[in-house]
Amino acid sequence: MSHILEVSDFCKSFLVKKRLLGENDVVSAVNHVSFHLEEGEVLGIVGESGCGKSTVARLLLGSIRPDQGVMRLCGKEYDMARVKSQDLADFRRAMQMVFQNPYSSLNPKMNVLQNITFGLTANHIPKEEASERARRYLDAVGMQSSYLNKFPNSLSGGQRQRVAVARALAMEPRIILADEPVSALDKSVQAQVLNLFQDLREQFGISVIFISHDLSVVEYMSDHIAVLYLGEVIEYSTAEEICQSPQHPYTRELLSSVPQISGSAHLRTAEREPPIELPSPIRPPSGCRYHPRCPYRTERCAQEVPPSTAVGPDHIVKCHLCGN
Amino acid sequence: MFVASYAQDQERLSEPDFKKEARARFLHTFAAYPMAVPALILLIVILLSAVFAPALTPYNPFDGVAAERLQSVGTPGHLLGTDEQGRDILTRCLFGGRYSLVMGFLPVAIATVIGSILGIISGYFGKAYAQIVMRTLDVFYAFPSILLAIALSSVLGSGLSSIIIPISVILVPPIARVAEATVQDIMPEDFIEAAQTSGAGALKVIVFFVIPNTFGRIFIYCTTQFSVSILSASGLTFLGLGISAPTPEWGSMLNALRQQIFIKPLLTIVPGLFIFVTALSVNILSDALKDALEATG
Repeated sequence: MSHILEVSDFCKSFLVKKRLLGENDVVSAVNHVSFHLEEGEVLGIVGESGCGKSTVARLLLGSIRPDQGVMRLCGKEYDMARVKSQDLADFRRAMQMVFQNPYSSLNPKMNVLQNITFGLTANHIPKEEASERARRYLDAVGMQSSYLNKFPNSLSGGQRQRVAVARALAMEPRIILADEPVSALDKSVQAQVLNLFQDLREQFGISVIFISHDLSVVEYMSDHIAVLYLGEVIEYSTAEEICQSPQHPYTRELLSSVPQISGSAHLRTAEREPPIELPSPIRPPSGCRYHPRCPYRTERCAQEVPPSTAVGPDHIVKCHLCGN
Repeated sequence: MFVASYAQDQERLSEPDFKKEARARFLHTFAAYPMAVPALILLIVILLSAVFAPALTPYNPFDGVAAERLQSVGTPGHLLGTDEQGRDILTRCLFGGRYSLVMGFLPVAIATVIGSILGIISGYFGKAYAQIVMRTLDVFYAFPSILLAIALSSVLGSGLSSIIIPISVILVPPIARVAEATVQDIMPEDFIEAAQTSGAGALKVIVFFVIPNTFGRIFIYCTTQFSVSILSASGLTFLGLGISAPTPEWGSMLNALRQQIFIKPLLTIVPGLFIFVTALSVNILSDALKDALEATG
């Protein structure tokens, strides 16, 4: 297996408020994020809302320019902070996005065929081949070709998301970037779409970056999981490792908050003493960004930024308490 | 069982049905708007009577009979009376409609094209471009628009263009503003980002994604400007700008008959009534269109 995508040291901060005196208010949405994706595997990125998951997706697609960061895609290196529009067009062909909200991601004035073929013809693929591909990939996502001339407003949420997946597939990318692709859907439809992703991955060998706030979904989908907290990857490992032996206190916290039918998750959160809400990313906590919420915090956590340490093969944690 | 039959139903609701249904809903909402249908009929009648004016009246709009000056409304042979030179007012109003309607329509058409282009581009690209364009257009808001039109019109001299150009100029800023706001509204939609990241150029994204999803709302606003245009044009010709004396035109007729207001008050209202009815009908129509477009989505 080789790395199809390597992301190193992505940083992005947004200006929130300009101040006349003193420093401007800046949100550092993504802070030194690095990860890699192997050919044909699914990488799950998980974290609570506001932790920078969607920003990571947009940085990868180049629709937001990072402050710094290098991306290696299919053997080619791109300096994302200074990427040219030619390069953008280049790697966008290799990476396609499936958006969170299927009610907003399809053009309501185009039918399914036009929605799928737009990107293809924009990339100078002849019309016949484009509609041939539309037919093929619509079939691959389990929809009949009679849907080709329907408009999005006559489709259900699940059908729309299938069309969005078919649109991404039709570009024949190496990687599909799925930003919360099921969170806007009903539970019953979620399962369909998740299974669809699994099938497609087996069928086409596509690598998938799967972004979600729902750890159970990510666990089901992924080979590797990166846990994001306030714009930092705080733990990275195989899905099994993360779920069987989580090292970082935040990952444990996330795992224990997954509601179980028989469990009593609400009791557990009520017992917690540290503040529940995400601290402001404008003035992130000193040292370890998780320390105000961490039940195991020490003096050191508030002062030193923990380094990324390997605690096992293929297992990286950013915590002072782990690894020694 | 149930699921299967439901799927078949979905299948059966094929696309032409869906379109037909949308069209039916559009027409229904339009017709349900109070006075929409009478306004439409009235406007068509005014339009047709302007086009076919020579066939509808035995009189010439330029030749007056001195003996029949200032006949009252309702005089046999002169349904709406005669003016101070003995010309049939109905005839002059019908012929005048040709000028007035063109002066209502053309500036709106011109301003719609220019204003939409400016507004859509600023809304799409934002940042410095939008600042330059929109702040430049804001300069026009510094003058009362009718004064600006009068100034431009008097610089341009006489002729139809000296009415149409100034009115187009004063209509561009508000249309551009609405277009910009409408485009900004849809920019956060995911399908815009999807289109941009598919590798399509900005022009393609604008033509296939931005315009189809904003055109309805911009168009509706432009139709409301039609009556503004007619009223401004009549205002300019009332002041003696653009159209010269013998040419029949509602605004200039109003001005000529103004002097008779103490002798034949009813006569002086007639051209104004044409302006009023046309502007009102257009406004009702655009409101009805707006409702109908909103209902169809």
